[in-house]
Amino acid sequence: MKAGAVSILTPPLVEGPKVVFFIPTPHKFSFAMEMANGGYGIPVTITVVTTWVLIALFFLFFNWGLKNLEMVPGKKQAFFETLYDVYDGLVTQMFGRRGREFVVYISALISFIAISNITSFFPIPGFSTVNGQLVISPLLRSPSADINTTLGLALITTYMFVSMAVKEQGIKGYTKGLCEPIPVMLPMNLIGELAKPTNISMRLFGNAFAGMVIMGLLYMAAPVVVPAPLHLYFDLFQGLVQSFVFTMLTMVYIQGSLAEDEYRI
Amino acid sequence: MNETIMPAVGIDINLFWQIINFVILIFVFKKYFHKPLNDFLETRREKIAGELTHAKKDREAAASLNEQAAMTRKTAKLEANKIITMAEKKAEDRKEHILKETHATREKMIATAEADIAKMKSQARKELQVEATKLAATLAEKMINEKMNNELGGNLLDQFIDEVGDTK
Repeated sequence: MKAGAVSILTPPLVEGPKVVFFIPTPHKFSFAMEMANGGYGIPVTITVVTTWVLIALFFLFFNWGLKNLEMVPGKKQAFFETLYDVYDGLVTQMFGRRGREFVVYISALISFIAISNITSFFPIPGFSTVNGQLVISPLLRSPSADINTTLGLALITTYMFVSMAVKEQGIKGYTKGLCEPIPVMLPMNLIGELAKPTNISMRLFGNAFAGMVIMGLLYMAAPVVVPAPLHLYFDLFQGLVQSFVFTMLTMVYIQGSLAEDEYRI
Repeated sequence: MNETIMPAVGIDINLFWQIINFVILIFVFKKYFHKPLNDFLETRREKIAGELTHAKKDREAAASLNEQAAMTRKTAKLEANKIITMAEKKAEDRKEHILKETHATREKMIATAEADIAKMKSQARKELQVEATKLAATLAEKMINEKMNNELGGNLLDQFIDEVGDTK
């Protein structure tokens, strides 16, 4: 939308994350890109910067909330204690007394995905000039709308459940488990294992990205009023549901690799 | 400024960035959220447990004191009952004693009074005898004085006999 010298960018239909800056490298690595000045650099996209902002926000939020803990909690402290209890209850329900091992990972996962999904619901306007025209566009981009984020999280989850399975059953036991019920099934089982990270990463990415695409379409069709309530659905509701789904699936996969009798209460 | 846009769907170097970022986020959660709250809640749990134990001990002490007090009250009641019974018995004894004494004194007094009466009686008799003797002497004197008249003498004798009878 253009109004004189100011142009306000509505969310684009399909656009990849833009590169904010490059970290210059002397040689051309496989992931390095050519910069404007002819050198090579590792790109740092808006997704990564948004993640840094979110990490900084979490850090500041915890520092602010958990500064002076008192025996009789105030409203602020009660909120944080409730949050802690919610996470604790979630992992205890799933893992029983072994929940303590995973509570940090699970709480970081669900918080990060939920907040990154609803980032686009609270857009921070960014100002820039293109050809002498002031451009106002959302500064941050939802990190979960980038396949790299969701795949990264899925890989960490995979590392968690595979390492847990190896720790529980030993490398021999784990390999043996992959060959069950008959060794011929090994490729099938391997595909099954690979499907797990693919499943959760694609599900989250697909939802976040599709939401963005649909919103872009809506902004193109009816730029002013119509998209507003749909932001509630695609960003807030969908974002929270998907964060929960991702976390639950992660917990199910991890639980599947634990020895049966150990996590039962 | 021309913006460089990465492909919308593509795996690139950002995958590693995001993995590193998430590991940092886990660290932030562990160090700044879970550890302080966990330590704090543990402290609170210990404090509450300590206070509960303390309260339990206090309650037990109070119960034991209460029991002791009840026992003391019971003992005191028994003692009081004993004292009252003893006092009653003593009072009864004293009453008996006093009554006995009084009885004895009365007997003694009666005996003394009887003795006195007997003494007085014998004394009165003696006095009467003396009086009668005196009277007889007086009469004899009168009879001698009035010997000329026999009749009169006889009357006087009757009169004397009557008087003696009355005195007796």
